[in-house]
Amino acid sequence: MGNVADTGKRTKAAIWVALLTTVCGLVLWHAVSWHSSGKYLEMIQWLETGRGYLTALYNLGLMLVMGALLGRLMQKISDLLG
Amino acid sequence: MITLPELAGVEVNLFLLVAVGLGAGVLSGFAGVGGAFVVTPALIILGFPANFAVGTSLAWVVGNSLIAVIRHSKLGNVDMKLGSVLLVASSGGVEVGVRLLNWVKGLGLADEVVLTVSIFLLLAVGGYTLSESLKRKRQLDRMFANGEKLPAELRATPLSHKLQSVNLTPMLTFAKSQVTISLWIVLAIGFFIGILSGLIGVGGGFIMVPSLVYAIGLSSFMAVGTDLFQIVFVASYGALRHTMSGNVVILVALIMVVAASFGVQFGVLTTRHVRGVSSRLILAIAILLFALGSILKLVYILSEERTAWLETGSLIVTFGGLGLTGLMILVLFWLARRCRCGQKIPGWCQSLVIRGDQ
Repeated sequence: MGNVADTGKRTKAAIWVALLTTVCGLVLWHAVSWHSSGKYLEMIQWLETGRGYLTALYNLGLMLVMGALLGRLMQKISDLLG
Repeated sequence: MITLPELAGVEVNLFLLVAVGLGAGVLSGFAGVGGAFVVTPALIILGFPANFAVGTSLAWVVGNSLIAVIRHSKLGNVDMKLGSVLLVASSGGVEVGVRLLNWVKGLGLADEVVLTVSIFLLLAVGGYTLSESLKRKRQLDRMFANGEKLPAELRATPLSHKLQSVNLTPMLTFAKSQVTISLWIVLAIGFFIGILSGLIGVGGGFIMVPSLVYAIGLSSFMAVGTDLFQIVFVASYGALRHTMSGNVVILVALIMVVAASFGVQFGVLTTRHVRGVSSRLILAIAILLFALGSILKLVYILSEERTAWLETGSLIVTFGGLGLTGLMILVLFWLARRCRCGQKIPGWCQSLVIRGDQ
């Protein structure tokens, strides 16, 4: 019984790991692609206008989202590895 | 190499960024420091202007601390109630510290004052932490020699006993930390540390963690988790302010956060295999090496000739010290694993690791 419950827990953790890795990858891809396309440079230029707060919120949001996703991902990896 | 559109002409080696993030993450997860005092000089060495290095490292601290808090909270090492009270107090202190810094800057003495205060503080905190943790280690060594069962953590110092016995209403009970202490004492400690953080421009972890242990009476790991919890908010505010000033290179912070997430896990995992005294001992060594690096930098600033070797020496001592700290954590983890598997380990580290039967 214990083994079945353990396997179920690990399968669930594996699904979470796959899902969170995909989302983290997408966030990273988004940041890199905005950098290379010049979109982010455009946002940096907003700092000289009244829309600078949007750049600040974007940066902070990106770090908080990435931190939360990676924190959760590492937790699930620990669950998966037991 | 990656090219940064915000910093025309600046190219950064991706592997070095990953290495810095990984190393800072290990120290952060193990010793509970935010890591800004590691990342800022590293970015300067990698070619970033100082203002970008400070802003980017603060943005990195937001993500890195959040990862560590999630991990520590799972291990039951975060006292949110105490963290919130400290956050309120330290935020007020930071504002006072920043104003103080601006006043000193107006006098044209910012570098000298900031470095002098940092050095005194680092020597005081590092020296006290080192002497206390060595005393604790000797105590644990004696217990081990007598065949007594060693506790995972020795709590409550004479100072924390004295402060907890001060009956100044309202008295607050922090159930998670198992501490009852006057609100005013917690506010005073948070405010004082906030002033120092604002003045010398660091997250404050290396001051906050020893203060929580020695003054309030928290266990080392509860102090680490609680400190990281409040750092998330303090660093978020700092990152917002720096972005508005155009000092943040977000892609660099993001890459380092991904690398640090693995380092943090290793650091936090190591805390489960070692006694609190080990974490304090290694933090003390890191602080004292950082103080030595700062002394060299101060002598460089004060010397009229601005001898280049002093500045290089300062960087070497700071980075070499951090490398050494990382190596010590790695060795300690390896010894702890050996001990758990019932293999022989040297006598000097018997009291530093948690044995499998304890």
